[in-house]
Amino acid sequence: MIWESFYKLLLNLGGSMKVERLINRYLDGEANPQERKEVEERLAKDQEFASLFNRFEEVEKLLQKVENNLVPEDITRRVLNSVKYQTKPRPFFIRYAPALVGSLMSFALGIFFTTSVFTTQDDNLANQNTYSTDLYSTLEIEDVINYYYDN
Amino acid sequence: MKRDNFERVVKDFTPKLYNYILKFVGQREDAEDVLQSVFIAFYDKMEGVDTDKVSPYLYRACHNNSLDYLKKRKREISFPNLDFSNIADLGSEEKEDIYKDIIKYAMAELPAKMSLLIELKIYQKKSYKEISEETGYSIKAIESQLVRAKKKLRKIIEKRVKDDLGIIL
Repeated sequence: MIWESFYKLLLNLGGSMKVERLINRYLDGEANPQERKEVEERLAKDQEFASLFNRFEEVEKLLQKVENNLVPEDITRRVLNSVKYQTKPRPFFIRYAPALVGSLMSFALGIFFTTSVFTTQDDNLANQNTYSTDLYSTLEIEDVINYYYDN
Repeated sequence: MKRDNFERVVKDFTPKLYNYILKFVGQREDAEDVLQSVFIAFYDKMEGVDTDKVSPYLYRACHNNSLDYLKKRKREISFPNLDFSNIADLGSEEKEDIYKDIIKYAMAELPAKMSLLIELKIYQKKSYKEISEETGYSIKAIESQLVRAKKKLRKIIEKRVKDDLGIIL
């Protein structure tokens, strides 16, 4: 029952959309001869159709009350001039400033990382050397002491 | 679209867009200001716009820029406050001004796509086929959008004239 009424509603909606499109095509001068004949026949005998037609026709009439204005003769030239003036190519250094800043930053970051890696490696090496030097020096002292006591 | 085509686009579209903008802003000087701002922005972005989408792109920009322009200048688009039952007694210039104000009000309330289609069909008198070629919309979509646009226009205006659109004609 519910489905039946829903289906009927859909049919009605589809039907009224079709009718609205037909009227709109007629008023827009897009209807073919057969469609024109159909509209004219229905207008003569179908009150509901005539009332719907009238609603669309009134909007159309209202829209057509306003004419397009005459366009000032030199407007295209004025628009072109103003656009050219406001979109002048920017100076070289401004145009390429973002690219330049980006490259400089990458270069600086590259230098920073490279130096920091090498510095860490050098520090490790230096630390290793320190240990070995310390070990060496410790051993040397012990050796000297042992040598001293042995003799 | 390549920047080399800019001058051609300006020459092709300026008269049409000028009239379209005029329907929103009302004043010639304002229409020219909006048109210039639209083309300046377009010049920067045109390389990212497909050749077959230029027309809807420009019309949409005109619609949005016109409304922004009025908003920035705190100019409200209002419906003429009149006793429309006497409209027949008015002179033709007065009537024309009233109709312009009504259309301005109604067009500003429509979504950009619908007002574009009204402009192309009613004011530029193009066929559905020509509109389809210019905008890339299918003929079916154009038809259904025009039906919806006209129904919406009627509703917008009827709200202001006590459900009697006939009174202003």
